[in-house]
Amino acid sequence: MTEAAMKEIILKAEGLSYAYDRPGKVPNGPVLDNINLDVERGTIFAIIGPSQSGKSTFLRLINRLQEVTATGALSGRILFEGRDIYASDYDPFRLRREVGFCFDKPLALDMSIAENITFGPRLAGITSKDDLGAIIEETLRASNLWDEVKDRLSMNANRLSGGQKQRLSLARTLALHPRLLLLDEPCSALDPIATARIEEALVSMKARTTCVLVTNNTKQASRLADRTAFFLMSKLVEVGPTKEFFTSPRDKKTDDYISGRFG
Amino acid sequence: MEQEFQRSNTFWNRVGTRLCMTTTYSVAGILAAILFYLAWKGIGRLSIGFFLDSPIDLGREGGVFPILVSTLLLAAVALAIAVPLGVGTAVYLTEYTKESWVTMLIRFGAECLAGIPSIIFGLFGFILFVVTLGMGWSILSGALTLACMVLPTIIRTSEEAIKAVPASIRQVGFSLGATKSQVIWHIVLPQSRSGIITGIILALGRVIGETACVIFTTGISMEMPSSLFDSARSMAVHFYILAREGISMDMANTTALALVFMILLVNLGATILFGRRYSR
Repeated sequence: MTEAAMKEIILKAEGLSYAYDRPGKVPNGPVLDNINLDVERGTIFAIIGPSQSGKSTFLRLINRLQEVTATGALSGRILFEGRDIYASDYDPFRLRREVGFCFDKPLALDMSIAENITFGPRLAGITSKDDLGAIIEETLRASNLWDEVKDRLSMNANRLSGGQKQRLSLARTLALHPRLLLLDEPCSALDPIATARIEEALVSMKARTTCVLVTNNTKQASRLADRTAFFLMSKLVEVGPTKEFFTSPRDKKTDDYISGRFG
Repeated sequence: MEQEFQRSNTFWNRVGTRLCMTTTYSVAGILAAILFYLAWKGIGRLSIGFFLDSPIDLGREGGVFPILVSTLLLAAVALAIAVPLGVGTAVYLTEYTKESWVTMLIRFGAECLAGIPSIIFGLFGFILFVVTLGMGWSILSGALTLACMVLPTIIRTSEEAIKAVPASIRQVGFSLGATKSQVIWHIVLPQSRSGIITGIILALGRVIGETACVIFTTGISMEMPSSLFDSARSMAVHFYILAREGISMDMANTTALALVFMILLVNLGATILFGRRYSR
C-alpha cells in the first residue's frame, strides 16, 4: 500500500456536538461536546471511556442509527468518504449498508443462520442463490464461525450460543461488504474465549474494512487498535497512536483511566 | 427463628403447589367431562354420511354437509376481513403512533367493543348490512358482522405480540439498511407470528361457535349456498334450531360433537401449518 493510501481519511468528525431532546424535562447538557477526530482507511480505531461518556452515541451517529430510536439536536459534521452524512440529500439507508454496525448484545434475527446473513444482501437486491451462498461462506469464514455451523446453516440462529451469535452478527454485518464497520462493545457479553475469537476475526479483517471499536476493555483497545481515543463526560480527551496513547499519555485524565485509577 | 421460617415456608409451598395442581386438574376434568358427555350422546348418529349428506326432514335425518360448508365459508370470509384489518390496526398502533389520547381512545374503543354481547353485534349487523346496505340474510352479511365482533380480539392479541418483539431486534434490521416497513414486514411480523396466530385461532373459535350473531345476519337456510349472497345456516345455528325446536335431540348432540371436533381440528391445523417454524 502506498503512503497516500494509508493516509486516506475515511471518517471525519468536525466540531460534532449532540444533545437529546427531552420535551418537558430540563436538558441534561450535551452527550457529545465538540468532537474532532479522523479515522484512516484500513485501520482499527478504538474509543475507550467510562459509561455515559458518549462513545456509543458517537458510534450510533456515524451510521445514523441514533435517529431511529431517539430525537436530538446535532451540530457540527460527520464526513464519510468526504461527504457530509447529515446533508439533506444523503440517503441514510444506503449509508447503513456501507457503514456496518455490530451491537453489544448478541442478537440473532428469528430465522435460520443462512437467512440471518443474507438478510441485508437480499434487501439490497441480491437474489442469485450462488451469490448469496458465496456471501454466507465468505462472511462466516471471516468471522471465525464457518467450521462450527457449516453443516447446519438452516438451523434457527437463536439456538446458537452467545459467542456464536455475536460472530454471526459480525458475519451478518460483513455480508453487505461495509467499507466502515462500527462495533459497540462487541465483547461485553462474552467470555474470554469467545472474545479472543472475535478479536482474531477483527484483526484478520483489517485488510478489507476499517473498524471503529467502542470498548470498555482498555486492554482490548491496546491489543487491537492502531489509534485510540479517550472519551470522558461527552468530550474527547485524547487521541493518538495506540502505542503512544498507552505508554505515554499526554493528559493526566487518560493516564488515570488507563491505569485504573477511576472508571 | 430461621428454622421456623424455613419450615412454614415449605409447608405453604406445599399447600400452594397442591392448590394449583387441584385447580389445573379440575379445569382439565371439566373439559374432559364435557367432551365425554358430547361423545356419549352424539356418537350414536355419527357416520361418514353425517358429514357428506344433506339434511332431510328439517334435519331429523340425513347429514349436515351444506351446513358444514356454510360454516367454513362464513369463518373463512370473516377472518379474511378481520385479520388484515386487525393486524394492520395493531401495527399502526404499536409501530407508527406515539402514545397519545388518540391511540388511547382507539384502544379503549376496541376494549369496549370486546365486551359487547354478540347478540348486540347481531342486531347491529342486521340493521347495517342486512337492511340498510341491502345485503339481505347472507353469508357476506354474517361474515362482516362476525369480523366486527372478533376485531378487538385480533387487535389486542396482535398488539401484545408485536410489542413483545424487542426494540434491539428492530435496530438490527435498521442497521442492515432496512426501511421501517421492511423491518415490520421481514422482522417484526414473522417474529410475532406465534402470538398473532394465537389471536386468530381464538377468533376462529368464536366465529365457528357463534350463534346469536349469525341467526340475525345469515339466516337459517339449510340449502347449499351458491354464492356469498345466499342465506345459509352455520353448525351452531343448526344445533340451536334442532334442540330449541325439538326437532331431534340425537341429531343436535351429534352436530354439537362435530362442531367441537371441527374447532379442535381447525386449531390443530392452524398450529401445525403456521406455528411449526416457530417452535424450535
